[in-house]
Amino acid sequence: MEDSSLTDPTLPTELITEILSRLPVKTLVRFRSVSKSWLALVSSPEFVKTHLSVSANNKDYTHHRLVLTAGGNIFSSREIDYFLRDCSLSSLRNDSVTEAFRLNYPMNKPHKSVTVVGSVNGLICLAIDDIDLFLWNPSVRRYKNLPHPRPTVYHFGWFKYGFGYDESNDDYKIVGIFRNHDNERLHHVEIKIYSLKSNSWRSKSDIPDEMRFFETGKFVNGKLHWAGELHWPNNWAFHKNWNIISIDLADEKWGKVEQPRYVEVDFCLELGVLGSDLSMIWKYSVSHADVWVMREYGVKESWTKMYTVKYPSYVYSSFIDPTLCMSNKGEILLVPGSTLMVRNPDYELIRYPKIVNFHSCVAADVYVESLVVPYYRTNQAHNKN
Amino acid sequence: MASSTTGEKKILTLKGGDNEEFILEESLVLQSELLKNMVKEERVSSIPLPSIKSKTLVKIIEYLKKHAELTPSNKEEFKNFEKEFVNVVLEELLDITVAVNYLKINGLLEFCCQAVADRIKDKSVEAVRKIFRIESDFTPEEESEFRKETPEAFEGDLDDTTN
Repeated sequence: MEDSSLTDPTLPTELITEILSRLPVKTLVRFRSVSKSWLALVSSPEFVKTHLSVSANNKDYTHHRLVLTAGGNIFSSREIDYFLRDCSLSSLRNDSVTEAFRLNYPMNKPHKSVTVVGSVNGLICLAIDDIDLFLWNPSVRRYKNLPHPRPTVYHFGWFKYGFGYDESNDDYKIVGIFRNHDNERLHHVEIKIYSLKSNSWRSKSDIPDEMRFFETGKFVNGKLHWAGELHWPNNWAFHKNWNIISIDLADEKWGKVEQPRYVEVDFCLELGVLGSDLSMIWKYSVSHADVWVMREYGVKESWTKMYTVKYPSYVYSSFIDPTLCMSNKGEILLVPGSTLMVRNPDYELIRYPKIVNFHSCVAADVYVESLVVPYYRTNQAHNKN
Repeated sequence: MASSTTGEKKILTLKGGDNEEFILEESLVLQSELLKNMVKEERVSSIPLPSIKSKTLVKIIEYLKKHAELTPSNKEEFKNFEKEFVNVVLEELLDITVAVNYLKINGLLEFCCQAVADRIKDKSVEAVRKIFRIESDFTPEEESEFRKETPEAFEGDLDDTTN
């Protein structure tokens, strides 16, 4: 006979936390309405952190998604529709068909360009038309419109950003690099840093020599990284003088990261993030690219050449992006041009996952579903989309 | 006088909530942090566990035995055993999880919590209240406010069952 009096009807709070921290964000949003104590638990900063760490460390990428950016074809004269879609990362890796969903992002207008600057802790930094910036959590549908950076080189500029998290100050920061188009001289580069805690931009006066031709900053180990060219190629020849420049988001000091030794003729280098490691894709002119990963941050010898990726026949080399993620079986996900490709490490087997409701993309970024909101409790109004 | 030889295995008795006794090798219970400390510090040979149903204790001992036999060659078999282990009605799974939490069997605790999470993932709010025996302390107005504010979280086929 069952004696139900043997069971304590209330579970200890730490056990409830253990169970709830393994649930998807959508479920937790629903379970906030179970009771006041569940609402308080799920909303507490400690729980948000625990849940984030459980989700981020899930080896099957159950709570990771891929945000796909479409539009932005500079060679087309047609009007371009910009939009974002997302799909499940574990589905891309395991299923033959994956469904993509249209994302309703802030300031969502088809003719305004949209760039995913980066994603940290489930927050995505978006740049609309290069200058309107948002911090946005698509999983809980909350966003914050950031103040205008007001660079002095506002017109005809080339703006690049990097987005990261300063753990020591529990602050999210954006580094903005504003460069004048028609003059590559150093004093036409301006750098500003935004802090979410202060909700303001500050100018940074010291600018490294390499700040000439930047992509979006890559966030690893508390620092943002860019591949910087030492000398501007006045004859447009490709050459070897690359440096990896970093900025520490805690003390905002510049640094350099040593590169692996390489031998072949260089073409073009692009940084990426693989798991929590800095990665690099070294592109050779027509046929292939090498993927390197720095296994131990800051240790030159730990750079490991992971793969050589042969381009699919139709892909022009410079359109291949750094590896997005790697499964524990060593499968990697890449974006060559407008398709996704999964490469199996055991053989040269390449799979092109079929994505329903999606045709092409110009960029793909991984984000983790989290409860992190893009504002602090004490500061300003927030928005819901 | 016969003294214990090095090969002799120490025996321990666990007493479940309904006074049923389970005799097992001491080495098996060392997987539980709680029992390990009791055995090491107090040198007891019988441990009463009044808050754990015998039925639950049977399951946990079954797990401890299987886990002790785990080798690299029977990994797959163990994985299948784990899957079957949590394939019980939700109420029983919760009893096991609470007991495992109390006994501090860490690897199994994580596995059970994940199993509970997987089972309640698509449940409705009402079903979750029944499962965890929680009374709602929100007013109907407050409840409808949640649905209005985050309709996407209440969309789809939600599971109203408690098992």
